[in-house]
Amino acid sequence: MGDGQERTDSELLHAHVGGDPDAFAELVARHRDRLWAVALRTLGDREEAADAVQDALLSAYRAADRFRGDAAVTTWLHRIVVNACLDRVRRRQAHPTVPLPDGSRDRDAGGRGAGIEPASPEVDHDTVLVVREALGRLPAEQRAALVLVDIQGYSVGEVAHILGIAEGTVKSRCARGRLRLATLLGHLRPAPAGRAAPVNTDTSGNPAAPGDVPTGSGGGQSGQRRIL
Amino acid sequence: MTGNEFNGVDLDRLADYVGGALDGTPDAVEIERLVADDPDWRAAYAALGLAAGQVRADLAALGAASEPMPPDIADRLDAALRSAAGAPPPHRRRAGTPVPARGVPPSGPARGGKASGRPASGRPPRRRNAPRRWVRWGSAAAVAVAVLALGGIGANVLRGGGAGDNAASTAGRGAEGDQSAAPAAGQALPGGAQTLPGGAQALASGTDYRPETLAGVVSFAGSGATATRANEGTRQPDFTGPRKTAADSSALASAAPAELRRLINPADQQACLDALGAGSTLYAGYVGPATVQVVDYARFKGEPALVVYFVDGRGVRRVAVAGPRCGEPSAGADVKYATQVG
Repeated sequence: MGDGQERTDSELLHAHVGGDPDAFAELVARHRDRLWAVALRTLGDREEAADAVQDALLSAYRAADRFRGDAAVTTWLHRIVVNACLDRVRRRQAHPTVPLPDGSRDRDAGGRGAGIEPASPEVDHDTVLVVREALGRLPAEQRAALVLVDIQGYSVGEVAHILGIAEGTVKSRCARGRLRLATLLGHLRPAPAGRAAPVNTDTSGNPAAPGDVPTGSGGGQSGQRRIL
Repeated sequence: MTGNEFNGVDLDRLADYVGGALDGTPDAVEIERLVADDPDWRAAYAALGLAAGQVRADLAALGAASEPMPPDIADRLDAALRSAAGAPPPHRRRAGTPVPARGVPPSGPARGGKASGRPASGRPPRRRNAPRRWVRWGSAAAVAVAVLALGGIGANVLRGGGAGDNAASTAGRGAEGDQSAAPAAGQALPGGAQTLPGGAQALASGTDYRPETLAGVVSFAGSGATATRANEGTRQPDFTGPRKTAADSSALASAAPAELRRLINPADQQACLDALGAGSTLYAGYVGPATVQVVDYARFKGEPALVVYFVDGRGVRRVAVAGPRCGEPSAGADVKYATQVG
């Protein structure tokens, strides 16, 4: 796909609208791994994620002429994929699901129950599995926000665009999602005596998204760093 | 939240504060005061900070894991997009401009077959009313046509059945909603296909299906789901399928893989469908009753397989692939693959 000089996402989308039969496929090839990761981590189910991505990208294919360029193309694609995922979660809540009996499922899941699927086998250690399971137990909106901010590394502002909500709402969903995860994972315990307030305990190497960094709301907590 | 250890602390609110969601609001000032003055709030604040560090580390570990789209899913997606590429985006179709004139070259699996098998080709201007009429004569044949056209198998089946372009053109007219072009119930189609009372269809297309071609049907037979939901007359009380007559059984038998001929027998076929229905809890999100649209005595990944397209009680189109032992007491449904296609 795509001979010669590489076109921007926007150029590819416009080319698709203009009738270029290869442009959309090139655009998809460029972003599908990230879209897939978002879908898989939001839905926790390989087949559901595959269906969601396919539905979303077919929708994007057909609605490309409605893209107004007020956000990056990739943000627009993420938004469609995330919405497709959340739609599926809502449907699944109304109609509980179990795994499909296809061969790949059997191979991948190894008899594991419905819910979160394994990622790359080479990083498939217990902690990752437990965290993935816990993530799957969050409300879908919190999960989607955390997947985008803490796992995929998007800024709060980008995620606000993707989800179509205010930045404060993104922060709240992330914060409450982290709180739930902390509870589910057994991390939320009374701090050791003498630890009056949190300092920078973020040793993850995953810096807080820009929007999550406190802007200094004053008072006697100056010097504390919010990391939840 | 449990939060039992933190008496009187609103943990969600505290989490909002810590996460910056309350910045610049009176709530933030109030919580700062609580954290400064109230030992319980202070302890909770400290605990949340520690826990957050661990959670973020955990999530970072997830994020560090490479998660590329698996090749089979990428192939499936490519197939779906190629199928979609055969028809122009809706805004172009609404403009009423024929596809070739818009310079959208046909692409994708369907193009491998005869161009006449594409509903988009030569679309007449009466298209606006077409879907309703297409619905009326039943979606099963439409789905079958879509299956036949997908992956260029239409021509093979049609030639194999000796009816050639006749059925392909029937497909085109059917997609246009030409009710008169629809095969009547009981009318034989190529490949041993039979349109049956109730709209379901049994055929032996000779297709070797792959997961991606099964899934690709959805985008190709776009309006079928709506059609099926509207076609209440075909809904069965349980997981039941086409009833064949003795006359069409011989045509099916001659076209079907030998290993599947047992399943042409009405009792065995019904046993298989019953077994598929009994296993309906295996289909994600499945809600009965199911209405079978197409039963194809075909192959899946090279192996003989009964490919059953059906619509569940919510109007979700699905496909189940069963092996030759489907319906045998010891084999159950012998399901090889199942997925949603719409």
